[in-house]
Amino acid sequence: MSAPLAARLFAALGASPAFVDDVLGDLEELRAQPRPAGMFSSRFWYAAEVLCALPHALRDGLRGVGLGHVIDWGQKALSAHLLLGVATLVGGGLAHEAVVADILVEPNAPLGLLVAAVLAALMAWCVALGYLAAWMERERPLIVALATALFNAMLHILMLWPTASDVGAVVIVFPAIGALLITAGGLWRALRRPASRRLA
Amino acid sequence: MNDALRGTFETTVLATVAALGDGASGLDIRRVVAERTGRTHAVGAIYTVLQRLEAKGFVVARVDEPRAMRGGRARRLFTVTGTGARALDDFRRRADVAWGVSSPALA
Repeated sequence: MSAPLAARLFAALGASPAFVDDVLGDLEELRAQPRPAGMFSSRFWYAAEVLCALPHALRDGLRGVGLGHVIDWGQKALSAHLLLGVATLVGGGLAHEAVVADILVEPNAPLGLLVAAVLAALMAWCVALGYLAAWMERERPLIVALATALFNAMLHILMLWPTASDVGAVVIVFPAIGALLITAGGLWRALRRPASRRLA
Repeated sequence: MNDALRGTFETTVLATVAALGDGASGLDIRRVVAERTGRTHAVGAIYTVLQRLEAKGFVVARVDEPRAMRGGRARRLFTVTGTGARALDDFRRRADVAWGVSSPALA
């Protein structure tokens, strides 16, 4: 992981430029220092340190966040769902039917090429949802993608809950995979285009 | 009480900034905290606490010159303010009072 990529990642969480400069500057200094033999490679060490700093960047990004921000993120999560839902209404409906019919209701049914294609399309839909949600937010795109992932997961858990006795762990596993894919989509967008206001 | 010292880590960081004197860098603070506590904290954790202390007015930061070894980034050097020193004294006094209370269990 490179420093500019890490800077984009922190900025996508809304971390202040001062925090980004402090952390990445220190990591550059530490990277230049010799480390004991047997330690991880420099690149791996740097990526691990950036990952360790992520919760703190998130905390920094959430400083000063009020109810207005939360409502705004909720609106964006809902808008992304509606926009993409309407845009893919027919295909999405067919895909949902196919998955429900072939996987959830009849788990022993042969997993045909069609179902595999539908699953791939659903995964792409989730990535697109995350990308769209992050695209709507300029200051903290990754936080909006995370909010969208959470909203989507809650929605699907509520929808699948009545069938929990039939489908078992699918109630949790499907929404969790969806949330991961939505976050990945948001990450993709956030790393392509840096957050605008806070990145100096 | 938003302007009081919160938790052991916050107190340790503020005490370390005070011990290092004028213009302590984040890396120096991290190193001394690790020496004092025996635990190495993430770089981000140190700055999260330093920003909180700065917001409370317990430390002030000044920006150093940009350095090539930091990828062209400047360091921020932290110094304890009078309010921060008083908060540390207050914390120590309260801790002394707490430990000074005679307990039947310790007797």
